[in-house]
Amino acid sequence: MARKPQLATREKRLSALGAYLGEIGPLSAELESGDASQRIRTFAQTGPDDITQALRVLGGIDGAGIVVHGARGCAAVLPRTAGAAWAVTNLDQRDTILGSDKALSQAIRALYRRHRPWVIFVVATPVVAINNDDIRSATEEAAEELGIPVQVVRSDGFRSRIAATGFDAAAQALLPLVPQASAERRSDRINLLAVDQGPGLGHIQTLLSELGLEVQLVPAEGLRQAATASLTVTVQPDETDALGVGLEQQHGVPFLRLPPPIGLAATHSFLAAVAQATGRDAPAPPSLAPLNKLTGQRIALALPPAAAFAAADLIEELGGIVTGVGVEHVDIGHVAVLKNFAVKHPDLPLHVASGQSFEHVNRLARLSPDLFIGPTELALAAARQGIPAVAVRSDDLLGRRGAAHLLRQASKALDQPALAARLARPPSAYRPSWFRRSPDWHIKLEVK
Amino acid sequence: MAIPLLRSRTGCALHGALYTAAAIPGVVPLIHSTTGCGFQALQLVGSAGAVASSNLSEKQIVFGGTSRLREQLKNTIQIVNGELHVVLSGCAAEMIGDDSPAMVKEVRDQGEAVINVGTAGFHGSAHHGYDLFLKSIIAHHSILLPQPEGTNPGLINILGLVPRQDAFWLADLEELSRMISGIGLHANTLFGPNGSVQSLRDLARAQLTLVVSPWGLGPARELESRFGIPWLETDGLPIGADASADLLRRLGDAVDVDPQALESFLADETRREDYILDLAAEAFFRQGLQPDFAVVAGSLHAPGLVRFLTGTLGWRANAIVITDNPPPESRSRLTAEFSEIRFSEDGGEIEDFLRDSDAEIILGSDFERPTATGLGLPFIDVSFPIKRPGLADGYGGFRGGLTLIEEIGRVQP
Repeated sequence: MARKPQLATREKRLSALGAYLGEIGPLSAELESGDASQRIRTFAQTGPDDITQALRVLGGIDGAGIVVHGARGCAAVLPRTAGAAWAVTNLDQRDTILGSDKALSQAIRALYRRHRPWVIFVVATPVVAINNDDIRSATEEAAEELGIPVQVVRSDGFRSRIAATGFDAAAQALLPLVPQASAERRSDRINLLAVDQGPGLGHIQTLLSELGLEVQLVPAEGLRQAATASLTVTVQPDETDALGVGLEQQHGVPFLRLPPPIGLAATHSFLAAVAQATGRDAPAPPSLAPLNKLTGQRIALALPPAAAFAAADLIEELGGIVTGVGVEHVDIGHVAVLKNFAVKHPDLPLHVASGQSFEHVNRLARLSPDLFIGPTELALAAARQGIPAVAVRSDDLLGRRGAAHLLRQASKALDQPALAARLARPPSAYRPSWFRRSPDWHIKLEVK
Repeated sequence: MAIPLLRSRTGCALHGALYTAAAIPGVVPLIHSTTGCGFQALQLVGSAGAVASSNLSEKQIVFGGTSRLREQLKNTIQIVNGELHVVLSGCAAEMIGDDSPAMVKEVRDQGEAVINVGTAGFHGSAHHGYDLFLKSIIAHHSILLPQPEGTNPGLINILGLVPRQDAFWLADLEELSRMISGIGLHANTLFGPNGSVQSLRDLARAQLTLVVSPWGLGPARELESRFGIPWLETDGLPIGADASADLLRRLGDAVDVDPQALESFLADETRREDYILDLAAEAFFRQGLQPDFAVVAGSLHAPGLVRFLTGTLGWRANAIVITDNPPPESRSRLTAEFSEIRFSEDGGEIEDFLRDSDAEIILGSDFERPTATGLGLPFIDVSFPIKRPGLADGYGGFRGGLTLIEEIGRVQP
């Protein structure tokens, strides 16, 4: 029997690190050496994993079906997020001992009968990974019987400490679904890669359309036509890089790697680069003058890496001062942006953590910024410390719309900090002694 | 073998235990499992919290995770404020055979209040997690020092509402508490702003345990066998004045209550429903409002909703779908009472029931809303998953009936 296809974790593929607090220079040198030492946490909090990130991608794909193969809790992110049809095999204790291929077969068929998806993704979870359950036989049999692709998503919840590995697992399952282009590629058609489909993505799609381009959102809508495009770009590089690389390698669609269009200058550069790559006139550069409204405000932020560095530039475009930057992970692909960032901010350390609000609150207590910008859970953690906060996803920051959105939300949070002040009144969830320790107290080099 | 589900509407046992532990101020949950377990739990209920977790990685899956648990537990005690730490073991920890109880005992022997609960997701739904957590707390009650002594006269434990997983859990709990206070007793709610580790100690001092759904029965029996506390069971939350009065009279019979004070409270509350129902009735008659309905909810809410809608408002139940897979004894009682009842956790099957029901209004969760919209029917959200937070207004008790009357008026054209 052929060996199971493997998925390289972000740690193996890109030397990714998920825990760090310190200077950027030594970090980028370490990443560049190709031998980055893994860090672990001796105290940790929950966070996203490869399963939840894979589900984030797959849940947005039009007309698809998802079977989460595990206990019912492994599908718990789906009720609030998925547009796709989904099922869970709902494994019980007996299945963990005697195997679960029958439950998987039933779930695939039940999902197909009701929703007739054009593809079904089977998302593996810790229970089946630990048991080494045979998923392939059930999926291959179902694919043959139903006449649709049934793709295994090689997630497991524990092999990688970098949740972004789940984006790669999703990409690995998606790429075989892209048929070879039967005709010549369309020079006016591009693939726009994104995981989150919010108003920011729609705004960027419009800006690209104004260049005279037909924009396919991939993977959500245009996956099966992706090989017919003449170019691929992404607004979420950390989330979709593997998909872009795969389209380039397997279908010859050039993947233009650009910093995400966050901030006025970056948005203009993004559009100009796409225009140039597709033989079009560049759009007129934007005016920066009217947006100088965060002048002198000290702002800390935490976002996925590419979005975080771009958002730092946006804050400066708006006149703010970046006092702290947190990213969910870093890898060898970030070396250039890290170096560039270190030149601009030689004294600014970098915090690498996905979730882990205990580290963030400790750090924020020391930084005491005027404003925090980041995902909902960290924005709330900041507000509970009395720090005005704005909850954003990277989609919220895209393009000129994103700059205006951030400015408006930030000005409200700064002008009206009442809720943060109110939330800060009850005692902290953490002991006072934690705030006397350094925020990286529990980040240690892993002993191999 | 597992029964696969299209669109499961509850978390797993780990999730239910986490929701239950986290709803008691002073209790610090610690998940011993992989990183995403707690994240999924929080996402399901729309919570932006942070939970301590051992975040088992491949190394621990291969070589065992007990030393990682020891490290995480020690550091959790140092970092997170709380009086009682609870280790909740997930699927991965249980499958690799981690001896979490031994590790927890080691820490407990150092004088720390810590317990372990085996809550692998494959043990069942969030409702099972509630049951597992509370039974374990009661079994380990002796570690809750100082141990309370004697019965607290008039103290009533309320069991059967699963925090976060049951819609309106806090509002319903507070309404039950208000009702119990109204007849001169006092409630041990465990959860929410009035909950505490002291409430867990007080479980053993109550005069009676009130069980409002089958999920409270296991812990109630545990309290009876260990501490001799009797329990009184209802098939679901009382909704509206008739059911609420009936429950309070049963409570009054079981516990020593001043009959005059009891009847005076019931009269006040019933008069309020009389008044509001009379105001609403004009609109009901003007709109010809006597629809055949379908309800999709758990065993906590569905029976009470049906009794109120049929027994007070005179509607007819075309379909009653119980979504939390209650144990057989509860099923048989419900089946005997309601001929239209079905039991299903499967989103697809439930949709079929609704489509075949010929109902004129649907009461259900966010999962049923598109079906109602598709059928052109009015919809009232009464069960999880639900967008309406329902922290202040639930459907339980006297006031819950009034909320439902108002909600019916709101969704009607």
